[in-house]
Amino acid sequence: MASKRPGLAKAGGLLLALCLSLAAAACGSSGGTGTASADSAQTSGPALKGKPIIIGMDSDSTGPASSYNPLITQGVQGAIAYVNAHGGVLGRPLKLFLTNSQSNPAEGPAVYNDMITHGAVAAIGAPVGPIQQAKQIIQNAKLLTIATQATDTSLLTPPSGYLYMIAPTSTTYADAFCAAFKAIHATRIALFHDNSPGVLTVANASIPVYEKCGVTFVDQESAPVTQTDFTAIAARIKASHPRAIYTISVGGSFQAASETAFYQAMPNVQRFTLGAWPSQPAAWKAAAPGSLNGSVVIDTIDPENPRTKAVANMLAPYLPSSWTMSQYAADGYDALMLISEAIKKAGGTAEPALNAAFQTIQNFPTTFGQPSSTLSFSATKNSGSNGACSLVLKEFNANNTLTQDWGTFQPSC
Amino acid sequence: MTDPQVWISILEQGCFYGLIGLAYLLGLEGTGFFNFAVGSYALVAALMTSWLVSEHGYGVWPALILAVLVAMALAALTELAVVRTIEAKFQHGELPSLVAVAALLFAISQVAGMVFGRVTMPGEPFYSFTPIAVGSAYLTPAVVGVVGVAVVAFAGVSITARTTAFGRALRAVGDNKEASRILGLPVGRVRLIAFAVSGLVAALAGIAYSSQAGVSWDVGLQWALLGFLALVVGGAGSWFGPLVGGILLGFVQEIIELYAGGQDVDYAMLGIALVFFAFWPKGLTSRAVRA
Repeated sequence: MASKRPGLAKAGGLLLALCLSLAAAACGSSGGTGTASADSAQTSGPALKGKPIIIGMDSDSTGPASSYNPLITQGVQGAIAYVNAHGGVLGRPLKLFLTNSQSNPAEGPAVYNDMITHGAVAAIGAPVGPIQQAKQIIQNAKLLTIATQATDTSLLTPPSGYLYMIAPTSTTYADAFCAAFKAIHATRIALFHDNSPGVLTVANASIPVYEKCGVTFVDQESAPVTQTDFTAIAARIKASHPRAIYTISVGGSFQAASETAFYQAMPNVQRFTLGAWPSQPAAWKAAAPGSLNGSVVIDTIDPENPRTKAVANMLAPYLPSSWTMSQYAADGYDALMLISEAIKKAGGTAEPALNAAFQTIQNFPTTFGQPSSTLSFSATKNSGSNGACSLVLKEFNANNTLTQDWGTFQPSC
Repeated sequence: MTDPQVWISILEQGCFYGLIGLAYLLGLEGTGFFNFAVGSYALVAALMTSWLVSEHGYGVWPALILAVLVAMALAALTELAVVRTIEAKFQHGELPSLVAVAALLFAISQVAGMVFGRVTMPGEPFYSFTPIAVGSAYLTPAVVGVVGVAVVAFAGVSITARTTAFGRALRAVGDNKEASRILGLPVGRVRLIAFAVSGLVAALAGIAYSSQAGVSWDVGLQWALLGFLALVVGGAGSWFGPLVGGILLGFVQEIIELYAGGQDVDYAMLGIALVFFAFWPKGLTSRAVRA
C-alpha cells in the first residue's frame, strides 16, 4: 500500500492540475476579459486625478440569473470604461465594486452592506430579490440604488426614498401584450411559465391584469425551469384550443425545448414570449430548425433606435470582441449614465444632494426601447419609465433568428 | 395516452435516465459505492462538444471524441485521485468518499460554467436530419441518438460482463475487493477501467440528450439525481435494471404531466423515491441497492 502512495499523489496532482488549468482557461475567457478591458480603459484615457467614485453592483454570476446578469455587468463596465476614457465624472474616475448575491434574497443585506463598507456612493442591483431584503439598509445608508430588472412597482413601497426602477413596469408589459392579443383578435390564451421565483411572481401578477383586458386563459401550465421535455404539456395546451400561447420564462433550454414542442404540436397557434429569451441567441440555436418561425417576443432593444446603435459602437472598443448589444447591456449602461448625470448635477456625491439631483432627471433618452423612449424621475416618481414605447415587439424568422419588428402591432408612448 | 409523441418522449427520457443509471452501476460494481459525479461527466461532455463546435468551429465528431476523452479522463481521475485516496485514508465506511464525489459534482459543474460560459449552449446531434414524421409524431435526432446509445451501451456492457474476463473480474472486485486482491486480480486496473467506461457512458448520454434542447452548466445535479433514481427504481440486480427504472420514471413523468400538469412532476418523482427507498430498496431487479 505504501509503495502505491507516490502514484496516488501523482494522480492527485494531475486532477488538481486539470482543475486549475480549466480554471485558468476560464480566467482567459471573455467574462474575465470584460473586467480587464474596463480596468485597462480606466488608465488608458486622460490621467484622472482625484479619489475614485465607487459604484457598487450586485450581479448574479453563479446563480439562477447567471445567464443574463453578467450581460448587465458588461454594460456597466463598458460605460465606466467609456466615462473614464472621457474625463471621468467631475474629473474623478469611476470604479466598480462588484458583488454576487446569487439572486438569493437572504444575501441582500450582506452584499449591500459590503458595498457601503467599501465606500459605494450609489449602487446598481441586477437581481431584485436581494434588493427587497436590503431596502432598510439602503434607506438608512442613503445609498442611491437603481434596480435594473425590477418591473413590479411593489418594490417601491416604503422605505424606498433612494430606490429607483428603470425598466418598464409589469403593467406596461401587460398593456402591450393586451394590445397585441387584440391586434390578432385573440381572446383564448394558454399561459405557460417556468417555476422560478421571479417568473412565478410575474405570472401570478399578470393574470388579473390580462383578464381585465378581455383575455380568457383557457389553460395555465408550468414546469420546473430544468425541464427539457414538453410533449405532455403541449398535448394539454393543444386540448384547450387556444388562439395563442403566452410563455413567461427565464429562457434557455426550457424555452428552446418548449418552443420546439409547441411548434410540433400546434404549428398554426401564435406564440408570444415574455422573459430573457430575446437576449439569448445561443439558446435559439437549441430549438429545432424553423420552430421559432413567427414566434413574437417583447424586447426592449430596437435595432432601428439610433441611440442603441450609437451606444453599441461607443462601448465596443472597451468590451470583448464577441460582445453584442442586448437589453441587459443597455440597462446596465443607462443605469450607470443616470448615476453619472446625478453626480454632475449635484456637483459631488454627498447625500441627500445626490438623491435630490437624481430626482430632477427628466426625459433621459434611453438606450433601449423605441427612439422616443425616455426616463423621468421625481420625488414622487421612482419608476422612470415614461410609457410603452420602451418596448418593441419582434418576430422570429424561419432561421430561428430575431431580425425584424412584428409587423402587426407596436406599442406607443 | 394515444398520442404517439408521448410514448416517444417516454422512451427518450427513460433511455437517458437509464444511461446515467448505468454509469452509476458500472462504478457501483467496481467499487461498491455511488459515484454522484457521473452527472458532471455527462454535463462536461455535452458542454465541451457544443463549445468546440459553436465557438471554435470543430466538426461534430472530432469535438465529440475530444469531449468524451475528457469526460473519461475526469472519471478515471475521480477513481485515482479521490476515491482511492480517501478509501486508503478512511479504511472504514463509504461516507467520506460519497461526500467527496458529491463535492466533485459541484466543483466540476462550477468549473464547467467558468470555462464554457453560463449560457445555454445548443446541443450537437451525432447526425443531423430533419425530424422524421411518424404519423402525428416526430422522430428527432435527439430521440434516435439517445435510444441508439442506450441500445449499444446496455447490450455492450451486458455482453462484456457475461462473456469476458474483465466482466468476471469486475463482478469479483465489486463483491469483495480484498478477496479479489488475494486471488491476484488487478483490482486497481479493474476499478479504473470501470470508472472510465462509466465516464464514457455518461458522456455519450449527455451529448445525445443535449441535442434536444441544448445544455447549460447547472444541469449536472439534476441529471445525477434522475440517474440515481433510475438505478434505485430499477435495481442493481441486472445490467438492464437502470433502463427498466428509467423507462418507468419517464412513464410516470409523462403521465403526471399529461393528466395533472407540469407543476406536479417534482412531487411525483419525490413520491417514487420515498416509496422505493422505504418499501422496495432492492428495486425492480433483485439485488439490494442499499446495505
